[in-house]
Amino acid sequence: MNIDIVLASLRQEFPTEALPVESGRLGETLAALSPGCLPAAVRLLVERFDLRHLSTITGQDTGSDIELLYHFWGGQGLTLRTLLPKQEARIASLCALIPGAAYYEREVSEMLHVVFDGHPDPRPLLLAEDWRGEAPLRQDASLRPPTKSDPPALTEQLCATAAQGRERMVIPIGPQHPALKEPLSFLLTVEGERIVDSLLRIGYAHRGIERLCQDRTYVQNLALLERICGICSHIHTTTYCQGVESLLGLEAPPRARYLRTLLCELERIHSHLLWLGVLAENIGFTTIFMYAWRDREITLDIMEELSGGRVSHAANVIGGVRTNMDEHQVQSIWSRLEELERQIVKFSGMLEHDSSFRGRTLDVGDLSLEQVRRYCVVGPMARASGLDVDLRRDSPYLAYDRLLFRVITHQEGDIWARTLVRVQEILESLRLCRQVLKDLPDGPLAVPAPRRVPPGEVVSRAESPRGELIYYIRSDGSDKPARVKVRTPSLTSLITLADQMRGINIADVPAVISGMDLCISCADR
Amino acid sequence: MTWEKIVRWARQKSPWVLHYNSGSCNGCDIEILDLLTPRYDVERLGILKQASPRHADILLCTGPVTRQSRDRLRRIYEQMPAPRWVIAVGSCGCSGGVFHGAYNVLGGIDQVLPVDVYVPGCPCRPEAIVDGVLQLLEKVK
Repeated sequence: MNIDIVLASLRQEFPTEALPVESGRLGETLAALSPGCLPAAVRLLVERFDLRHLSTITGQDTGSDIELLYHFWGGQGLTLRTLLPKQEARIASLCALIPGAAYYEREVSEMLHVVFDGHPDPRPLLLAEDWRGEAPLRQDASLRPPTKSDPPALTEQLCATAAQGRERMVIPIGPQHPALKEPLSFLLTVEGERIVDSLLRIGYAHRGIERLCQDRTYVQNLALLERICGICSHIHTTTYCQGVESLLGLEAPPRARYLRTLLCELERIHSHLLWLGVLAENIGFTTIFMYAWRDREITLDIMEELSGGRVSHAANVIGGVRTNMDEHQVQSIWSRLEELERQIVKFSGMLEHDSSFRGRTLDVGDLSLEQVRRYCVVGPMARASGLDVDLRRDSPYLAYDRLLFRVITHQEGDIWARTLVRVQEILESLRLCRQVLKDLPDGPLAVPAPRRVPPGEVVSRAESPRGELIYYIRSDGSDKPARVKVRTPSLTSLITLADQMRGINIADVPAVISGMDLCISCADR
Repeated sequence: MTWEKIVRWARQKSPWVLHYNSGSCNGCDIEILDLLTPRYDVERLGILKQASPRHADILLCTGPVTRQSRDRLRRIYEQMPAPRWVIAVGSCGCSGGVFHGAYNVLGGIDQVLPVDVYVPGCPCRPEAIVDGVLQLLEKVK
């Protein structure tokens, strides 16, 4: 995608718009439009330029107005921004053009009280059922934490309405359930054994991290953002540091970039193995669960040795890293990774030749390439349906521009393909780790970073184990960020759940849920 | 041997646990799941993870209590047969931890349920969770 051509045709299409364009940090282009023109502009992007990947919508209260930023990605970042009046904040919904925008709009709507005209399902996404009143991200919100004596929530009012036909039955699942370790709940409408409809409720792990970030300093936020997710904690701080460093005009030294890359790849291996274990357990293949989790301990040991933490590493600081390793450690990590590779090759062979595993995953949870693009799905989920995207290759950050690796894609789009993609990605990650260990440059680990960050904004993207992770950070010149927006890849997978569930057998539900590699704490924040 | 004694002995030897995440970051949850896998293998101590609250003696609860999961947590506890115990796993479970003061967070598990054992750590190591369960067994002896 050529941004200049896109902007030129936007100018041509909307001659009355001033369309101020700004070249932002980290290669992002930002253009401002009036709210009336925005849906038409998006239609132009989608229809003429096939620019359909909406990464997320950031909403923020600038004091005088509500600002919405629509972050697109087509090999390069393009952000369209528009201002809405605070009193009457409404704009047309994009769901008809880009169905993947549905969750983003719901979130902006509840967090800032923006009305999206024409949204097919404007229920709240994350806030509790007993939440009354304020928009948490508006500046005037008082936001007292809940108290013990708050009245009980109205949790199940949906069960009664969902079952309409005589043959139909509604099965509530969750938030406590054996298939996932995390809280999310479904209402499955079934006819016999077949699922005809499903309704999803998330938000059980919504803590309000984005708002909390505004009350804490940039340095304190490192500890907080790492705890968005315990599985991919390092990539969160890496993306955040990458953004804050670019606001500060700093660059992490080469050794720090390599060490960050190493931890990112180890984390990817650990996350994929964890996922493989959970999937195997949920379809009754306990042997693979035990093998995958046993071998996952190797990566956890390495990460603990490097940073002191098995799960949360606290390895990043703004300006670099605080972990180091010597020649002896490089040797020891190298040999353990070789051991890990041997194990993975062994049990991936077991998986591929196991007829019952094939039977449980082939043609289950299908997503076509078209569906993946409509819902703006990212990461291994998209790659398993044939969408060739990987930010490590498309927009190299850290040390990825100097490392060799393949982007794994498959065409089938079922759980089988997702398994193949992830298992092969583990092998590619091992290859990346070895390159990092071999080429690790010498030098300092971090550059000193000031506490106050000059005013500005940045869109920072990185490829987390589950796909594109995007941070929007705005600074007002103080030591605390004015806005931190996080869009995690799990949110894009969740939106496809209803499509994947429709028509499947009830016995396949655990396979479909765990086949997506959901991370609810990421999605809920 | 009296009946009472047999029951107490059985409880000591097979503490069945239920895990609920009331808003945690997943860090402690994967460490709890890790307990079942070969390196830690808590089944050798008789600890078995259950899927239903009705089969469990101990509630291993992770994370701060969020507004949305508060009533669910209460209800899960009420579904467990007595005698029942609660272990708060992780710093958030003990006090709200790093999320203290967030608009959607009530605080630690003890804001909603009576907690018997606190296992601090962010996230806590699997060894610490095993130790927590064993301390609880010591307490109920």
